[in-house]
Formats: sequence, C-alpha cells, structure tokens
Amino acid sequence: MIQKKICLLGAFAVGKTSLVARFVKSIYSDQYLTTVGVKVDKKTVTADKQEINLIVWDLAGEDEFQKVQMSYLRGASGYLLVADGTRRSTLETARMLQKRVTQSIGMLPFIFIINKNDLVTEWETDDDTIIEFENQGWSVVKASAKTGDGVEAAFRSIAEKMIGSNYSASSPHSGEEAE
Amino acid sequence: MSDSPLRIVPNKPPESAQPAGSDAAQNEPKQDEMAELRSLLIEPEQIQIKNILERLNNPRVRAREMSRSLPEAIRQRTARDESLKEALTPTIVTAFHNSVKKDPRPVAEAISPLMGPAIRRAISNALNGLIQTLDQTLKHSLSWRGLKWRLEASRTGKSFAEVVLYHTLIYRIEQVFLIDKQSGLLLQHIASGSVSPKDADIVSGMLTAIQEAIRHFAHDSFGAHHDEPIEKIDLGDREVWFEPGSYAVLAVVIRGNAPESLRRDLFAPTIEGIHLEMHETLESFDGDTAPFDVVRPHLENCLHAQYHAHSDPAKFKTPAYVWLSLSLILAVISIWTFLSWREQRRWNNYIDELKSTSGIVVIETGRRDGKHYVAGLRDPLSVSPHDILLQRTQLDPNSVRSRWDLYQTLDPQFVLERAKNLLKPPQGVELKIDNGMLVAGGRAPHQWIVDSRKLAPAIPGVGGYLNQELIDEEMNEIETVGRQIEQHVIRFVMGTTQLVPGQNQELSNLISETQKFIFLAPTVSRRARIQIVGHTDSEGGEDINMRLSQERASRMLSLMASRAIQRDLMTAIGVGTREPLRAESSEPERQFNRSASFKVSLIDQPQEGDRR
Repeated sequence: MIQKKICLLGAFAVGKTSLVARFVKSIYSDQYLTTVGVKVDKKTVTADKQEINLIVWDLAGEDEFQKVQMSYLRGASGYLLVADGTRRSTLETARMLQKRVTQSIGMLPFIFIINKNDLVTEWETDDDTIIEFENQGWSVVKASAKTGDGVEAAFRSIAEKMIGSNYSASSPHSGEEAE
Repeated sequence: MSDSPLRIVPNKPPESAQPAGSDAAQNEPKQDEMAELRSLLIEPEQIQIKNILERLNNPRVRAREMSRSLPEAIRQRTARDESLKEALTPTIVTAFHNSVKKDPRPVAEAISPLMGPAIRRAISNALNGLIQTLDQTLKHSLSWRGLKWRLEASRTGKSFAEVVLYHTLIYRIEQVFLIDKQSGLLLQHIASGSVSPKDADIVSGMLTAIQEAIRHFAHDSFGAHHDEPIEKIDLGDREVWFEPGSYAVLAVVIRGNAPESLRRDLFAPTIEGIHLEMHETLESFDGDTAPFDVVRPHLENCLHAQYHAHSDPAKFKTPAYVWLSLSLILAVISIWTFLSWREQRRWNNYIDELKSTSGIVVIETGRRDGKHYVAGLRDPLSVSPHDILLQRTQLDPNSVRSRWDLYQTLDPQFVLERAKNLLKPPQGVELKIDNGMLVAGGRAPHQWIVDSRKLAPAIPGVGGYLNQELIDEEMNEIETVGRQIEQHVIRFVMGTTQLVPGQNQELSNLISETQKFIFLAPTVSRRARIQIVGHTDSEGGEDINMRLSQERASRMLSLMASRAIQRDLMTAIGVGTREPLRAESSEPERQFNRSASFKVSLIDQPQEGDRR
C-alpha cells in the first residue's frame, strides 16, 4: 500500500485536532500535542482508484510563544493548512505558515481549510478574501469540526493532489503553485 | 511493418523503362552494355538487397534475427521508461491466470520452494513465541519462587506469564521497525509472536516525531547539533534502540537489558545489509512500501531473546525435587483415595448390617464434622449398634457418631423376648406368641401364674394372655393331697365311738396328709377346710345312728386336734346312714359304714377382720 506523510498545521486553537479527530485512527491522546508538540494519526483514503495510507502529523498550533517546527514537515508529501473563519488573524498565520513551509521544505501540495463553517454568521472572513486566496492558486475548503462537513473532502483532495503531483519533499521546487 | 512481402523495384531511370519501339533494334546493344555496366556497378548491392529481402520476407529468419536482439532491446527499453512494463503487464497477468486456470501444478511447483520456507518460518515464529511463554510459565508454576510471582501477579493485576517473563528475561527483542528516515513512514515491521503491537504505522511516525522532539530539546538545552542521532530511548523495562542508515533507520523495541554488543553484531549489519540490498528503492522511496517485503528476513533475524542461564527454556530440565514432590503428591493422593474408598466400603457394610438387623431402623446417614453419622430408632432388645460396629466392622468407633432413639417394635420375636424379660418364666413354663396373643404352657408356681396374669396384658405388643394350659404346681400338689385325705376311712367299733384297733398307720397317714394340706393351702392363697363326716351302719334307729355318727365325727375331730391339727379348720358332722360308704351287702362292707370319712376344701383367705 502507498503511504504518504501529511502534516496538519495552523494557528493556535483553530480546531485542527477537533477537525480530524473523528476521521482518523488514533492511538495517542491529545496530550502529545502539548508534550511532544506533535501527534501522529492515520487515515486511509481512496484517491485515483488506489488506497492510500495517510500518516497524519498533527502539529501543535502556532502562536506568538511557539513556532511550528518546520523539521516536522520533513518527508511530508503534502499538508493541510487550517484557519479559523471567525478569527481573521488565523488566516494571516496560515499565509505566513505556507510561506515558511515553502521556504524551508519546498513546494508541497496543500489544502487550505477554513474551519468553523457552522458559525458562518460570526465569520470575519468574507468571500472576497477567499477568492483572493483562490486567485493565488490555493485550494480552499470550508469545513466544520462540529458537523464534520468538508473534512473527508479535504483529505481526499490532498491525497489526489499528492498522487498527481510531481512535487515531493526530496525534489523541492519553488516559486510555483501546486495547481 | 506491413504484412505483404516487400518488393524491390529495379533501379532504372523511367525513360529506359519504356520500350522504345523502332529504336529497339538500335537500343539493344546499348541495353546489354547498360546491363553489364549495371552489373559491374551495383551487383554486390543487388545481392545484398536480395539477401535482405530474403531475411525480411522469411518469418523464420526474421524470428531468428529478432531473438538475437530481443534481450538487449528489452534491457534498453526498461532502462528508459516504464512503458514496456506497462505494455507487458496485462499479457503476463492474463497468461498467468490462464496457466493457473488450465493447470495450477506448474505454478505451484515453481513457487513451492519459496512458499515452504516462508510458511515454515511464519509458523515457527508464532509457535516459538507461544512456547517461550508456556515453558516459562510451566517451569515456574511449581516452585516456591513461582508461588511468590503468582502472588505478585495477583497483586499487580498482571498475568502470571508476564510476571515470569519479567523476572527471568535478560532481554527480548519484541518489535523491529524499519522506518524511512526522512518521512518517518514505516517501511517494514515485525513483532515477536507473543507481543501484540499497536498500529505500527502510527507508532513509526510517533517514534520519528519523538526523536525530532528530543533533538530539538537537546539543541535548545545543551546546544547539541540538530542532526545528532538518538541512539536509545529508555522506557523503564523497555528500551527503543535506533540504528540509522543513510535512508532508513532501524528502531528496535527491547524488553530487559540487552548487551551493547547487539548494536555492533546485529543491528548495524542488518541496516547495512538492507541498504546494500535496497539502495535504489530506498533512495527513490515515494510512499510505496511493497518492495520492502523482501527485507522481512533481515528483521526476523533480529528477533530473539536471552534468559537467565538457569532460566533458559532450552536448557530447562525439570528438577528432581519437582518430580519427587509430584510422585509424593501422587502417592499420597493414591493412598488417600484407597483409604477413603475402603473406609466408605466399611461404612456402607455397617449401614447394611444395621438395616438388616431386626429392631433397628436407620433413618439418616451421612457425614458431620468430618465423622460418619447415623441416626435412627432401636428397640432396647435389639442387638446394640455399637456392638455391631465393634464386632462386625473394622471401622474406628471414634470416627462414628450415632444417635439412637428407643422404640418398641411389634415384631413377634421382640414381643416374646420382651414378655420373657418381664415375666421371667420359671423353668417348665413355655411362652409363645400366637396370633398376637401371649400363650403360656407347662408348669409354674402358683404365685408366678397369678403375677403373669396381671403383667402379661400390659406388655407392649401383647394382644391377650392365654394360660389355660398352664399347670399350677402347688394347686396340683394340694389337690393330690386332698384326694389322698378323702381316700381315708377310719372305722369305729359298732355302736361306739371307739376306733377299731389296727388303724394307727391309717390314722398317722391321715394326720400327716392333713397337716400337709393345711400347710400347702396358703401357697395357693387359700385356707384349708376339713370336714369330718361321721357314718353309721343301717342297723339301729335313725336318731341313735344320727347321734352316734355325730359323736364319731366329733371324736375324730378331737383326735385330730390332739394330733396338732388346728381345730378351727375342721368341722364335724354326722350323716347317720344317709351317706353310706358301702352298700352293706356283707359284714365287712357294713363295717365300712361304721366310720368317719373326710372332705377337704379350700376357701379364700379370710379378711383381717374374719380372724377369730
């Protein structure tokens, strides 16, 4: 079976862990995130007619005190970038994280997930912003940890991107978008 | 390539191909020249072309040609890209399917040398794990130390096997991970048979993450280099050893204390061997772990364990004391079983004996306070159960508790026995039970007869008392004496109250018999009464005779009284001639009527007040 390492990153408290909690097979508790800074889970998806084992590295959220360790991304074939639709700053963090990943690891396929779609009335994110991201070539998925909407789709998309992609950690490209 | 054989068109200019009509004759010598020239110029090429055509058009030759270049062609094509592989795959798969469908034997035969060892290896690994645990567990189940460990197991909630392993194991390699260094993805994993591993893919990722975290920590805290390899993570009773190669790292989970030499002698050669064998696959690894199935034997080679010298299952021999104890236990059990069986048999015999004994009713049997127990009813006249226990069984009387309530059985045999015990019949008396009645026969003293009449009806089980056939000894004797007295006739001289001489003996007998009669009367609770009857013969007047007879009787009474016969027991009456003793047909007979005769009787004992 094909195995792919993907990382889950975003600003602090955007709900990364809750977002995937019920979609992945997990043998470790969430405490690992605060103690080790990373928690590894597994998710099997079917993309391009083949089963792929996604080994999901859930990285501790980034805030002003703690930076996401880029070394955790080594060997990853893609990543899920998560932001909180109700907090505009987290979108900026995501943008910054994406830049950092590209700088330190190289161009990798990624999906940008804007979480808390169930609280859309409280969103500080308007459609223009999203279009702006999409115009930069980002694949944006609105999702909800509460309802589970969009999560499965995000996993499938990243898997498809990775299978179809020529990018990999071992042959980094730069300056180009994955799309 | 076209299917039609190739044709070659003669290499002539177009104009010369056309016949020239009238110029023909003129052209002929030219043509010959041309042909000659041509043959001179291009004949070798023509021959070559002909040969080529022949090679191309002859499939046999073509095949031979192609067979020469095919291997090289395949090599080149395969090196260039995957298209040959992709083109061939469906054909090969279909051919394989068809071959198996048609006759699976050739395929089976071809792969059996591979499958056999692989299956054997898998089974032996699984069995080894099981046997190790079993051996250790069995070995230590019986010893003193084993008991201690069992206690520990119950205290800590671990399984006994686990505790045994913990104490006897020096080390055991439980799991081996081959991990892609870059991504932390699991390339291959094996676990010892007795270990149930968690999801190895996730563990592999986490192991890599933790190494990364430690490296960060080491860098931040001690300024260690970022790429400093982690050699070992110590987790108490387990350690995870890492043996890095250029592309992959070996992570080995070890329980116990493994010697450092393992790294040099086993793990380093293993990771090097894998890199040597799989260098290109490792270098170009992009998530496909299937090719790494072939490194399993390398990893399996790492799975082993070492026990304390005296605990090595392979060297384990059951110690003599275990056998001795086992034999002893067995012997004790056998003896105990035999003794219990024998004891039970004796007990059953005792109970059977009790049940078959008259006058004993067994109501309850069983065991109480570790002793045999029997309860029931018994007639006091029955054989004592205790005697049966002592005399007819080999049971230890101390091992038996009994409770007997007394009762009286109506069994005729017991009723008779009871009657005999109570009545104590003298010799000569025979008692029997007939139809529920107690029947007495034979001879008995008067007093016993009197007493038995009172007692017998009160004896339990006696429906009535029949004693008509019983002879009263005293009464019998008294009656005999009475009859003897009444035989006596004392004669008188005619017309007088003088005794005819020569009757002294008669008189003496009369007196002694009368004394005896009087003496015997109280023995039958009576008083004797003797009536002296005076008689006369028929001569003389009635009045005189009456008076004379009276006087004779009185004279006789006085005579007897003078011979110590109580006077008040005697009466004297004269009957004259009214009760003659003989018919008086002759003188001797008449003389008989001049006499006194005697009648005896017994009267009830007088009451106290009747005494005079």
